[in-house]
Amino acid sequence: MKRAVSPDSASSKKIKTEEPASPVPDLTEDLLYEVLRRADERTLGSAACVSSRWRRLAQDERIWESVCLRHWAALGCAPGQLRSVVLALGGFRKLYISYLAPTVPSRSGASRRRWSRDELQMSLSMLSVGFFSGMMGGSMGKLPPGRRI
Amino acid sequence: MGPYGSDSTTVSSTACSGPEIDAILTGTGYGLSTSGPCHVANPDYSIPFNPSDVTTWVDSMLTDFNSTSTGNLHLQPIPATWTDQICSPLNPTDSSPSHALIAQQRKEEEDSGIRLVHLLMTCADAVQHGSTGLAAGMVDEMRVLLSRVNTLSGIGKVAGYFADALFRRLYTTETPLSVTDHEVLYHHFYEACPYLKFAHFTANQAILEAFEGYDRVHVIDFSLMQGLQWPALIQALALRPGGPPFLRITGIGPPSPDGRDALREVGFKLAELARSVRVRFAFRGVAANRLDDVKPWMLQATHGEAIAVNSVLQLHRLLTDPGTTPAPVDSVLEWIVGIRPKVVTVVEQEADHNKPTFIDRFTEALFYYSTMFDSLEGSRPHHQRQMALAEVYLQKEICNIVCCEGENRVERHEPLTQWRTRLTNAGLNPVHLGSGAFRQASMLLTLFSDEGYCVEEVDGCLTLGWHNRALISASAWRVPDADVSPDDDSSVIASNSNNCINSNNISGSDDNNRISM
Repeated sequence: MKRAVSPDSASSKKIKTEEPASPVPDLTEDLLYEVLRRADERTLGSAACVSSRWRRLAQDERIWESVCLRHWAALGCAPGQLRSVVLALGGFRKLYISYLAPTVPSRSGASRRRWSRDELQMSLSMLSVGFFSGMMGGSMGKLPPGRRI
Repeated sequence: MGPYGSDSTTVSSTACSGPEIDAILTGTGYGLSTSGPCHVANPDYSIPFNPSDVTTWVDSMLTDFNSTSTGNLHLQPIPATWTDQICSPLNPTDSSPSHALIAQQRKEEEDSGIRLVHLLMTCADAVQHGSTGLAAGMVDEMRVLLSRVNTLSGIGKVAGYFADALFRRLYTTETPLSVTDHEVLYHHFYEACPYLKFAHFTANQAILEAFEGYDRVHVIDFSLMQGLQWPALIQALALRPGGPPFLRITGIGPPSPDGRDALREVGFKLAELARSVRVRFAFRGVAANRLDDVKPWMLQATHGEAIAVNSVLQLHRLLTDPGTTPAPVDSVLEWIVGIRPKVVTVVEQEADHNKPTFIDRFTEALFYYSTMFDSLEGSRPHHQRQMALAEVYLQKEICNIVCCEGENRVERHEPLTQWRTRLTNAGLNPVHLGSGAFRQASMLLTLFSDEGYCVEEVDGCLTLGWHNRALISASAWRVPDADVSPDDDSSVIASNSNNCINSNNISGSDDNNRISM
């Protein structure tokens, strides 16, 4: 006897078998890069924890450059000028994580925030001082970070 | 307790490791505990670092104080303004009955604190009148009190430093700090609190604005130290719309001991940084023990360049006892005006520590450094070693103010109003620090600490303070008609061995690094 297959059970069966078994598709590097390029900062942070390959891509300077540029007012200089200076002084990712993000008090504000020119200039100044301190190394009398009394 | 001069400690220039830092601290009389801040004997008594509690405490302190009679202490009355200034992180907000014992202990500590302040004033008064025996007795009494008070924070700590300074004044001779040690302490003070960063960023903003439109610029830094101010300026010039100018920095600093050329090393690093951001750069170091040894020809100001003179906490060293003229600062201001700079940035402590009478200086310093130490505690409570060294930096200033006289006393801080008069009399006009500088200063505060610090604008100058007490001020000045071209000075620079002055040139360009002597 033929069993009548009702449309409902058929479609629900169909939906069940179509559910993906593995949550992370195996994308090529180009595709992964394109996806991450549009992600926000928190997503990038999580993405960097997935695997070393993902980490490498999530920490790409170009991605963090667009993260920074997404949020700030124009400085008045050419983008190439800004890029070469920031990369020379430690990079956009460092700029964002060390000096821009801490200015935002709340968690939710980060992705919507727009930094003013003064805030940017301050962050860039801090970046340059941090870079310079690193250059000077031990001769500045700076203690290694883990040192305790 | 021996003199705290550090001649015997060898602090290497290439690495300043833990043992060497300890050596500096031991040399100054401090042994650091290995277990972090220790607490008062009662285990329930914790020392919170939340500075938002301070204002509550101050309020309760004021109400308590007004109801307590001080007459039975048989000492001079506390100056009325003192109660406004006592800031201690001892937390009074917990008033449940089970903490009655703690409250009582705290009250005793507060009383001891008040008594300490009384003793300090009386002792200073005795010192001023030359009654050294009486003063010595009081110093002993203070030591006893200090053992009963929490000296790791608040009034106990500050009183401890001042009692120590009085002791040194009575019993030991001052030896000045070595150059390297001073740089180490300066660096830790730079990191621990925002005062020096505020100074640098505000001055840089004024310099940037003055340099607009010029293709060749020259910065004269009165105290290069490790050159921490200049990376930010180099970066800002690199990002200037239209491209960076040719930047020259002349760094003045004391000659380094044991043949090391510290100025040159800093110059190299700055040149390297400038090269990596493609700013044409040249550096020149001028070694001089005192600013008034520097002569304008050593700076090689050239025709057509915009000059900025930068003085962070340096001009007060050139002052003398009030009333004695001429002070070295006047001759220095004269040649500053003579080289016709586009901007002169001046940062000074906002304090009156150059008063003629000792007791006045002592009292002012007590108020000032109490606020200063309080702000140190209020900001980041971790990095204990950094905090300890930052405190040693301040302790050196205290000792200089309390222990030294005459030429040895260099920490002759004067308030902004007096500097305004002095600079105006020298022929300089004030420049309003723009709102950009104010906004940057405000942002600096949010980056590094979020409670208690306040930036204010006073007649075009900016001050940074703690809880409405301004502690450091930054101002900018210009020479009227500064567009007149400077005198062309083409005299050959000869080395003058008399004053241990040598100068060297370091030039950096995009293609190669040439070093010319």
